[in-house]
Amino acid sequence: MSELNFGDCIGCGLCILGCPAYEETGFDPLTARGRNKALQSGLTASEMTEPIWACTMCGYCDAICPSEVHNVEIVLHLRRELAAVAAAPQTPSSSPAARDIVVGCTIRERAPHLIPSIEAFLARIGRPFKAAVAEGCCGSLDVEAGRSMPSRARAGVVADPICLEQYDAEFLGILAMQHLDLFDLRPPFYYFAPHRVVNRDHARAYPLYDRLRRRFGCDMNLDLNRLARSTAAGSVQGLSGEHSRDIRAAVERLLAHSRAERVITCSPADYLAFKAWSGRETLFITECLR
Amino acid sequence: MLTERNKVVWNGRQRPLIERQIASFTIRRLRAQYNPAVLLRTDRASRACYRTDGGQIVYGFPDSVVHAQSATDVAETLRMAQREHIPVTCRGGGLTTEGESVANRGILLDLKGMQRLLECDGETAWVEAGMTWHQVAEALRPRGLDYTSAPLNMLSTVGGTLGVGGIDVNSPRHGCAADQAVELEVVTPTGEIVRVGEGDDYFERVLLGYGQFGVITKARLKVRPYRRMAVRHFLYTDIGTALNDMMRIVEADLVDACAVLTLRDDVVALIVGHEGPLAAFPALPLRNNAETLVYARIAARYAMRPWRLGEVGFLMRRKNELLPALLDPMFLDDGMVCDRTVVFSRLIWRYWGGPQIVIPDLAITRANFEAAARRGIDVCKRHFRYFTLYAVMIRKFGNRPRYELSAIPATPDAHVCGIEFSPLLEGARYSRDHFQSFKNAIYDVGLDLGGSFYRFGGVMKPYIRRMFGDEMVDRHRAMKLALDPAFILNRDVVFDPPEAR
Repeated sequence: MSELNFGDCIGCGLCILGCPAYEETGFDPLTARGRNKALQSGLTASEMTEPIWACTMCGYCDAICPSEVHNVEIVLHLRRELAAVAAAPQTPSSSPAARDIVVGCTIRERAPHLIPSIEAFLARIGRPFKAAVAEGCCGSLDVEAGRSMPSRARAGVVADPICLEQYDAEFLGILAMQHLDLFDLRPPFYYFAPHRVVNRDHARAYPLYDRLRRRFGCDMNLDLNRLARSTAAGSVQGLSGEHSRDIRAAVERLLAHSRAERVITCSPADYLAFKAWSGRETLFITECLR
Repeated sequence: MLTERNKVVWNGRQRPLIERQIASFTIRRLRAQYNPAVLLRTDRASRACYRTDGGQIVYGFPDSVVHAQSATDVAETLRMAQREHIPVTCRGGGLTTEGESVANRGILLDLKGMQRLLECDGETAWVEAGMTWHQVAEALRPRGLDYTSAPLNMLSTVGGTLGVGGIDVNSPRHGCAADQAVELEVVTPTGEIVRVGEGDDYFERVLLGYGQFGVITKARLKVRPYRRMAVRHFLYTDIGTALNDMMRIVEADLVDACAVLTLRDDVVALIVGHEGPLAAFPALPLRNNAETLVYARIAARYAMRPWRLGEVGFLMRRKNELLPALLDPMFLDDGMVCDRTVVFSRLIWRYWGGPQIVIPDLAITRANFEAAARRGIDVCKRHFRYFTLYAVMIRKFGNRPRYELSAIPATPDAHVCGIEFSPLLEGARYSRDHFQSFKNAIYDVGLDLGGSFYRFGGVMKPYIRRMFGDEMVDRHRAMKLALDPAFILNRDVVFDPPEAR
């Protein structure tokens, strides 16, 4: 663990403010601060199973930490310790470099009706590639579960934020934010920004989503720290069903103060979660294409 | 009183029962009471999380953690603790600096599971006491509202803040956070749940009561319309001039917020906030210096002391980091700061946080404000190479009983003046003895000038009698004993426990 900087944690607790595990339970030990303090006390991964699996990798803690502790990396390392994995990368089951668009397992298996609109959007912005029907799993869930190391393969566009664990690629949602005029976004609506992207690539992603908020006056999952709050839907727990947090409660918390009847997102797992639990019309961003 | 029943032999010495580990039968009873998956934790990972507080100087390890989610959970815990003589340490944000929220054995009662805004009528909000101020702000903002006055640290919880004070940059106008509460739900140390409001004696004791007289579980707080704030800073070469200017503009009620912040005593800045557009910033009768003069004086001072040129590098680095962070475009709208607490809180932790935090502070009268600052600066210079001083004023509302034995001295002044002295360690490590010597020297200044202290925990106890006198301390201690016969609640924070006498 020596290369992991949990020892730099000063216990300020800023990380708990948008931590989904904390929002659900109010329980410090499940947060980055809790894990770091436990590690500073000499605890091992096997003594911290619950805190390790409470993390949904939303990246809020990394983005806000004043000591620049690499909390997500620490969790991944601890999960690999728990899984006793050799440090070998798992490459995606099919060659990503040959394809321009990776739609990801969630869209392919649970929301394939979104694929035509995604292709139509990419064609409109001059990226006319088709999603491969036989696209295999990229292995990002295994990476997040600590069962393998990331491969960092290259691809053109990724439609699901979780696939960014495996690919260096452009994210579909960011492309959408760069082409807002192509969409019918009549307010009022609630936009769920993909927390992984906003929190982990904050300098680039936040201004784009903030521009959306200012232009349309929409409600969003951005908090006072200008970071994205999340559901656990797009995490390995949410997608695999193991150790999952209460996604329905998270959806209700996020929408508690919004009167918008329409929810729009560019995160496929959250699209399904809001569709299931919000009781409001829910659209994937490319479904709003004019 | 010690009896044979409550003594136990430990390491060959007689120890009162209250200091031993919680007996296994008590853990079993707690488990029977609570859902062990959520409310009671005895595993090492859960306990280790609470090993220290914001100061990171005092360490401890509770026997168990009760994660209360309602006043009933708190009441059950306190009733059992009272019966079994188990110490209970309350914890919200855990941002004390003297170990007040660190449990060395006994039960750590974490209140952050109570984090809901229950109702809001536009003028007050009824909130659970485990809410952080960040959560309060998040819940109020969609209603176009904001809290009135809260600590600049958004991680503090409502309950903990009301127990100690809570100072904001707008405290010169609105007073401390404790003065924003109009009603409380409190669990007494014997486990009774009561609701009290303005005019009730118990209400006055719990506010600013340092957690000695009960556990706040809900609070009705004054709220007000949300407003953005234009922020300007004015530089001075002399701390006395800056403090006197602050006192003048506060007493004339010319600004919405203000504080004095220094880097060593080389750069002294009066930070002023106006809740409105920058263009409408009021003209202020200040005697500040031009920036060029301030930097020229610094250059001249260090030119005569070339062996201390490293300090110039420190000052320049801090200036280059702080000003852009204070005016981060992400938090600005039309030149106004949108969320002052978010901005200041993140600034504090990034630039003042560290592996050890020591912030002795003084609450002092207007007449002695400047003298306390100058003498405190001398103390800082004797102990540390780099330091900062943060000075604010806090409005008083008459001589409320809650101010007794608190940081708000009983003087005829309309405001009390507060100064925090923070060493900036810049990677250096110091011993606990060194920090202690520094704190004692600061507190001696307060004692000499007739002030009070914001923090009472740990080592501060020896100063309480010297500051407030035996009569007042004994009176408060008697109230504590009447309410908390087994002396279990946040013991050792303010008063000596019975067996120590």
